[in-house]
Amino acid sequence: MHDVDGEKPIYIQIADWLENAIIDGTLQVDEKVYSQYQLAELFTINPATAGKGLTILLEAELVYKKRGLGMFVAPDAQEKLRAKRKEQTLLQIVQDLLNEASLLNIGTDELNQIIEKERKQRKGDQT
Amino acid sequence: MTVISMKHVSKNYSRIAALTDLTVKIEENVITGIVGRNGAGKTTLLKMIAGFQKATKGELRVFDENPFRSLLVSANSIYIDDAMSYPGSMKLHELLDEFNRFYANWNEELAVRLMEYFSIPLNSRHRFLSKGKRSTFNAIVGIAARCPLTIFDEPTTGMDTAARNDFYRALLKDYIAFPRTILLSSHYIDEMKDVLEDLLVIHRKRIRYHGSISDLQEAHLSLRGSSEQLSGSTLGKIIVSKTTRGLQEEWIVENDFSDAERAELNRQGITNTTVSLNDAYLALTEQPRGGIDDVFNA
Amino acid sequence: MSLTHRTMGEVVKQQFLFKLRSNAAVITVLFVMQAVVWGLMIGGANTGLSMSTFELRWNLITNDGVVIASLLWALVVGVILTTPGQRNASFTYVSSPVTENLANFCFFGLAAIIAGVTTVLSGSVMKLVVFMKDGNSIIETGGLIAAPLDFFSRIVVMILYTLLIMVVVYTFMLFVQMNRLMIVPIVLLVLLSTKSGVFDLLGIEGNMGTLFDFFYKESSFWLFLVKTGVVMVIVSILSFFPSSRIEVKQS
Repeated sequence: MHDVDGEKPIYIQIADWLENAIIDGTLQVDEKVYSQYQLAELFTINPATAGKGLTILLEAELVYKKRGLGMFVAPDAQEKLRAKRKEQTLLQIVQDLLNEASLLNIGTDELNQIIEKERKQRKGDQT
Repeated sequence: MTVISMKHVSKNYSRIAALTDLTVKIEENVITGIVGRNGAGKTTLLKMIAGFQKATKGELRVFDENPFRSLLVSANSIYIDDAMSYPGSMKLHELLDEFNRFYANWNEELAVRLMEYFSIPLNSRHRFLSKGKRSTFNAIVGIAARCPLTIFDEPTTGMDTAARNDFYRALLKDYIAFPRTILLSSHYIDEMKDVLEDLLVIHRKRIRYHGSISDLQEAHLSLRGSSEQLSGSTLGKIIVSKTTRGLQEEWIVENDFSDAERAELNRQGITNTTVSLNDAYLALTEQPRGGIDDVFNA
Repeated sequence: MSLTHRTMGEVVKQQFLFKLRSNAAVITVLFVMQAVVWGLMIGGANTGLSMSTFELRWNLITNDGVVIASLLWALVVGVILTTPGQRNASFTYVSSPVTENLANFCFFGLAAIIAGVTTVLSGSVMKLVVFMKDGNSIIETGGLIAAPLDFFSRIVVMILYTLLIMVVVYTFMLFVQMNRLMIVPIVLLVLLSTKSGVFDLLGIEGNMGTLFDFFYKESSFWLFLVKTGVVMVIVSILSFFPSSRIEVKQS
């Protein structure tokens, strides 16, 4: 787990891992999510830590609980996560980008050019 | 259920204090890591809990009994360290047979399978094993005993990296199948942090922290930027340590930053991240990184 | 995980058997010591008295050497069972100070029985060997057939002596382990309780010490039994005091 981001608490890394699985579709809507014991075994972590990771998803209503059966992916989980990532992760990356740009004395125009160039290249690759 | 409870417990060795005024409760089926610098009092604490040594002052209870002289505590706990006393006349399989006779939950099959996995010959004698193998044998005993209270004092001494990883994984798997209260001490917080739920930090003979590992980690923040930037944005904050990393400074501060404050730090170009558990622990025990430099800069 | 409740009796029995298995060598040492001394004794030192007119030659063969060897062994056993290694090994498994003490006494009991029986038997075998070798020998004490009561009482006396030495040495060592300074009052007590001890201290030549007389000079078998029994019980009870205070794994 450490290679993802060594500085983040383990339970947040677990939550991130589960969120990624929901965003990329590995975990489908209404599909059963790993139990805390399965996660503990999978990553050799304390079950309580894994449970804490699951709690984050539960509190964000990304998963729902079925008594005695476990947790399942909520129908609107993917949209919620996309919105959250836009708000938080993307913003963070933009902030980092602007920090780096100001360090290199790159203006807004130049930055836009770089982004546009990179985007075109990707489109070119795809087609 | 509380398995271990201490109220103002102190321990002296002929008037020299080894532990001072410990008050703590450890709940059932929690894996707690015990950390502290050399001589902080970890081993003394664990030996008192195991009932080997007597508290000088205060009230210590394990399974609701004073562990010193308690048969109940002895029958339901096992203490593993790197100085295990075994009769020299017995071979390893005979030692295992004795554990089987004494400990009600002992799993002989698991012990033998682990011995095979770690290629420790059953016919060997403990004193003829290498240091790492000796520790591995002790660790196997600690796992296979399946005691309601399992105490490991520096169990991985001398083990190679693979054996260490295997030990923590074996312990965790058996714990998931048969939950029990586990105390684990180590100098290396990083190797055991994944399997821990709680951490007990002993510093200067006292308890410095007891709580979940993530709470400790989130109690500190690492900030990176220029010295002027950092001093400007940390007014009123408690700075734990300062380190120079090339042109940048890294400061570890106590984390009472709000989300808005952290966003502001980002805007100013100050990198701010949660510290690693190890850094949080070092900060608590006054071992700031770079502290050794001061010795040479005097 | 539910707690296991073990009775004192169960643990004492298991610890006793554990001690037997792990200290089997201690018993072997007894046999080796006895055999060596026995061999030396039977070889016998030839004592001779020769005058110009006649020569008198005799062999004095006694079992005393084996008795002394066994008693010395008892002393060593008493010391061995108080070593921290022994105590720590017991606490590696399930133990409490009380079960540890009781299991040690069980071990002493069995060790003393083995030592007592083998010592007396070695004397009987010695007589038989001497008889077959020389034919003309004067045997001082009776054997099993000639005097069965005497034979058994000798075994009992030997067992009691062995046990007494083990228990006394064991308790003494426990007190010393609890506090090294305990050597002083204990040694003083022993010295004071022997006449010769006091006299020696004062530089006056005395008789045999009273403590020694107390057991050795007792001619009534039953009185001896009562005396050793009472002393052993008192000393054993005393041993619980240090044993419940000594800490385990003091490194």
